[in-house]
Amino acid sequence: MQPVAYFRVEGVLWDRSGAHAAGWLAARAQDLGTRLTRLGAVAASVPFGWAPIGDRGTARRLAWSAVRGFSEDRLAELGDEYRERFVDDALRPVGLDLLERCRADGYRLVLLTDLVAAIAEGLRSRLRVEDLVSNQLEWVDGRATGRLVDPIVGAVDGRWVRTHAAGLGVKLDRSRAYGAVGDDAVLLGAVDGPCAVAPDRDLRRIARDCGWPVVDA
Amino acid sequence: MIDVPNTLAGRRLLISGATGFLGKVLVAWLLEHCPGVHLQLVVRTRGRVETPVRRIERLIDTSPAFRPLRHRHGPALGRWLGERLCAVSGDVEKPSWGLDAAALADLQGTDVVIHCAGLTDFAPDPLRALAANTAGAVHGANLARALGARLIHVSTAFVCGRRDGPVDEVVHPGIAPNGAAFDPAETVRRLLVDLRGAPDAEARAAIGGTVAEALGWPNVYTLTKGLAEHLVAARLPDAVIVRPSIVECARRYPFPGWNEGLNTSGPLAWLISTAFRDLPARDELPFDVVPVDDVAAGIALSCAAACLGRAPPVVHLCSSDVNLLTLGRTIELTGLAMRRWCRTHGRPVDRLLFQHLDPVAVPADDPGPFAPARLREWVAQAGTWFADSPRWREADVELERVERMLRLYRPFIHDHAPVFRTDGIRRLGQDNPAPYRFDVTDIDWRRYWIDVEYPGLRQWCIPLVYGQRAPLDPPSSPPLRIAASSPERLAAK
Repeated sequence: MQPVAYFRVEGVLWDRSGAHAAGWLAARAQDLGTRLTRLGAVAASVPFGWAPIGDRGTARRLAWSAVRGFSEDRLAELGDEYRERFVDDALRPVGLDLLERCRADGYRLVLLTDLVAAIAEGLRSRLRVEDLVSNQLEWVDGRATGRLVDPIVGAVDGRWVRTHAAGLGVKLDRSRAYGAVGDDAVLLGAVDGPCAVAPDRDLRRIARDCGWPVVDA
Repeated sequence: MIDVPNTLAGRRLLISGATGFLGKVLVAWLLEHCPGVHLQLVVRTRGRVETPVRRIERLIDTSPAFRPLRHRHGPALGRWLGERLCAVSGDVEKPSWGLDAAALADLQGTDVVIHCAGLTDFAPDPLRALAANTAGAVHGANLARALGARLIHVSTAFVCGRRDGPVDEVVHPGIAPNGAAFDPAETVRRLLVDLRGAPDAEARAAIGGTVAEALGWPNVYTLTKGLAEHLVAARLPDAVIVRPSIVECARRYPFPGWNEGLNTSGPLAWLISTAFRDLPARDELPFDVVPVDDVAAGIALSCAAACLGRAPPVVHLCSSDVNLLTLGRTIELTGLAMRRWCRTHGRPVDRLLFQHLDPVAVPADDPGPFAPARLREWVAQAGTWFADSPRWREADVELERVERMLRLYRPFIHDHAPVFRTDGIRRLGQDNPAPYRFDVTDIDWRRYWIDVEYPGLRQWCIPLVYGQRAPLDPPSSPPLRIAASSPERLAAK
């Protein structure tokens, strides 16, 4: 079985968060009235993102509720535009370098991201990464309900990692993982080769306590 | 399965309307995919100097529809075409399409007459539309009978009139779309008398509109095409009536995006490309669109089936029953396509406008503050508040144009929801390899609309709205000359 290297997109490969993408999309809902209420949902999600670890799943749910009523066409087209404008040219060299090293070492690469598949799928294909673990929106009759399908990527319980590893038949203790925020501690703690890349304060502290290597940008 | 290229090999097809949008693609498609066929094109010449062959040579030399053929054959194209194509001077509005005795003698042995010519404006002068759409088809039927050939009459799916729900591939001569029995020949005769007595074009349009309405057709275009079907079916029971829906940009042949003229989606796309954002339309209505190369494939398949005596009397070339595109989705996709186009081509003001205002469908009877009628009131008010200037008058003229256009389109984008059944053509093409079948199930409407249709409309159609000409390819040097057909080839079947 090929060993796996998990890369958290937010922080390791890219500076922004999923809330930025959700806000950008919300501001481009088809009619003007909807935009205001959706932007309100994204604004409400921001304090949850600052709260202690444990509430970030709620932040993601609130942020992505902003795309309620979006058609698949709108999300795909705007997702492509968002990626071209805010992701493709803003990838962090340090993250890309680590990605290439893992590829050269024969690891199966997996991107982990708070973003929804409409945006992240294009990034996966551009970086020639085998797998993607992203948040999934619930769809009814071709329209997004605004709800995320469980497990939510980025939530602290780490179910999303275990679900993915079980799906691939991968043993996490033979894998590598690169994280940047406190939420990633569960993932990094589960693998054989953890690495904190330009970590936030929470993850830096945990990395120091656990003796994980830290790479600063 | 019908082996289209082999069935058509050695057959002689007489085609009208070869200089039109669909006709060009049909001719190019047949030459490309059925190289054993012999095409005889009936073309109207302009003035005494131009011969039909010269007109066709210029067309093939400069129309983008023939790019693949020009690239494939290069300087040898003239010789290659000489064995497969000839042109005769004619006029579909005249009996026997205006062909003289010598031409008719040369055309003996024709296997199939394909009548593509017609006026596709929604609001043409009814006299002109009757001549082109109705009389042209009747003359085509008579000509086919005289030549002992089968007739493929290209009509439109919208002859169904004001209908909702599934529309079958049938024609009931003498039964109008509203179910009333009528005499098509007598209707045409009376209509002609009334139209000739009318004082002006406006009066003629009113007379045409009243007759159309009384029989259940939404406008003069569908009235004249509908009358043609009734007359053709009564005169020539073995005729094949082919009904495409809204014929739009090619998705593969001659190349993705090719279009010509202002067809249905062009004006709508133009409207959405202006500051006008609220389209009176119903989201859930089917918007039945078919790429022109799929229509060409469908006609070729029907033609081969007709040669084998296997063609049904009516064939729909439509998409709504197997791959539904709704109007709401079309409006949203047009807005998204416009947004993408503006990112690369638009002026800063366009980018500002189209990145923040999307087109939406609004109810026609309660269209809100941005309806053209309401905007015209504002413009009139502005004229009284501020100095009256030509700018206000221009705005009023422009808004009136939009209002008129929306009235014309209303039956198709707001009032009725027909779903055209395509069982006949799908059965014919079953098991046929691509491209010899009519299969629109694999169209991804998002990709088609954003990557193909909208850029195609921007390049080939929207310039026409502003009085510009669609770009032509530079003529080859030396100019294309089609070698004379060999008599043996013409005689061969």
